[in-house]
Amino acid sequence: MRLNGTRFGTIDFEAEDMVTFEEGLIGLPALKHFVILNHREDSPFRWLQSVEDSAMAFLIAEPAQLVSDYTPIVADRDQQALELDADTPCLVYVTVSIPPGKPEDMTVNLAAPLIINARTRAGRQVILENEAYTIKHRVLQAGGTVAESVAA
Amino acid sequence: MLVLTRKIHQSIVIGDEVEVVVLEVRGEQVRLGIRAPKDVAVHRKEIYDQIVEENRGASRVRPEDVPG
Repeated sequence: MRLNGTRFGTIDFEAEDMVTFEEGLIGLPALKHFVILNHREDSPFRWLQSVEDSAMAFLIAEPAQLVSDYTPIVADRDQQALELDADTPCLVYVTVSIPPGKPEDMTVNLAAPLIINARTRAGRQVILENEAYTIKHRVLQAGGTVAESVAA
Repeated sequence: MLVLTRKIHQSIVIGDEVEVVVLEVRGEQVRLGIRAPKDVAVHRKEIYDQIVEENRGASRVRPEDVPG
């Protein structure tokens, strides 16, 4: 399959590499199909590239590489929707915001991670009930080092 | 918008399965109890709105600003 006109040029991908968010991302229900692109080799960052709208790509990251002690608990209704059980391989990503020209002010949304069933490639953005996880969690401290643990 | 007046401990039902009860009114604060099936997600609107804004923010990141 081929996607033209993305921010990264033309992208060729296999249908089985697509992930499907049946309900879209929160606030963006029309975008349901995505491919996940590596930002660079060995980078924790990925681009969640929309298949429906080639102009739309969301910066996401593997949280384990940016924050410590992040253990999201997925509600039963979300586990059921994704057909997750204890031994289903699953992928967890968080969305990343970076103000233009200010990578040091990067924040990640720990309150609403993207959970993907790696077997079925079905995904869902879930809202966690744990209030220790914030929507705008700063990744870098003032000195530019990676901030310490997330939750007390 | 449908507007209804309720007293403490009175409720409204939405569809067959969702009930919203007024538990307490204190000054400008209202405590609500919500009874809904487990597959219905209930969230504070401002949290939901902030998540929508973060998602939009993630789609506006310039690749050249991504570290590494």
